[in-house]
Amino acid sequence: MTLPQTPAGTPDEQGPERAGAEVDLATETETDRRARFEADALPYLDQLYGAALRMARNAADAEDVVQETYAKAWASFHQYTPGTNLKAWLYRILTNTYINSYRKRQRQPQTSDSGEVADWQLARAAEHTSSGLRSAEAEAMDRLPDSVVKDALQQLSPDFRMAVYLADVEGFAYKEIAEIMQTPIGTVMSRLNRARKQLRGLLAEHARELGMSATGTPGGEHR
Amino acid sequence: MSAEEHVEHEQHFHALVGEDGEVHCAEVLERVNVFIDHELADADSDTIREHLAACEPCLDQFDVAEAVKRLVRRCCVGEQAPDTLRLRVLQVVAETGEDPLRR
Repeated sequence: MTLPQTPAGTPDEQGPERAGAEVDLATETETDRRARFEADALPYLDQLYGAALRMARNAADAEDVVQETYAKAWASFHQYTPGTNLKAWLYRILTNTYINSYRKRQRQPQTSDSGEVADWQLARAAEHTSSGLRSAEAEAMDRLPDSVVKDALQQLSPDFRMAVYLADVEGFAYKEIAEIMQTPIGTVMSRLNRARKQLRGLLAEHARELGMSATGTPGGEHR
Repeated sequence: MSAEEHVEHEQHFHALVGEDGEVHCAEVLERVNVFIDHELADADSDTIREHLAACEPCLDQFDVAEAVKRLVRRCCVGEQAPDTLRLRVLQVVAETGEDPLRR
């Protein structure tokens, strides 16, 4: 099947950067470049803010991180090659900006030792491997409110949280996540593995607390 | 995705089809993330689908993994930046020249 051509300059899911693929950097004026930056990079504001919200401790910090990200992106926009993956480029700057601001705060006490989920939590998640109770777990999870999921994400270490966010929310490929986080693909995979195990343990725990799980209910097996 | 990338992922796992020619749960479960993230070669994904059709415990594991992925996406998409932030960003860009070292 032949897909219809996207009209030039129409921002779509692939990103508006395609429109900038024929820019002559040598002759472009700063005014033109500023206009191109605003047209191509600004459409990612909501997405970058959404990511920053999950990374930062509060909305004010998230706004600061995003503003700094755009300031840096604009300052080095001449290093960006038109037609390449602008979204990933912006996310890389966001990630670096966040990590730098996070490191500055390392001396402050953390709310919890968020990198590690206790073994008992993981063990709980693995408890029900037999019988038909698993699909009950999946069903119970679907009914968890967003606030619970956000809390659980918040308990992951920053690297784990970022990997999950980039894969699940932004749908980046592993290769892109590796570039954004500047790690080998194997590290991306192990972060995703461990992050999702922790998430699952935390969410299963919440589901049980909220009495949403069929676990332990007599006659709960449907198959 | 290119064949090379699949090979690169594949080196992190045990062979999907064992020496006995059978597909075992352990090797299927190793690949739950690459499967739900669509990072697995088509042939391997087909092998896994075949296994899941016949193995309910594995299918349940994959269901829960997909449920978690779906939840994360559901809770995080659609955030909107406040207008004040948009203005701040525009202002920074308007008032700042590009990297002065460049010229």
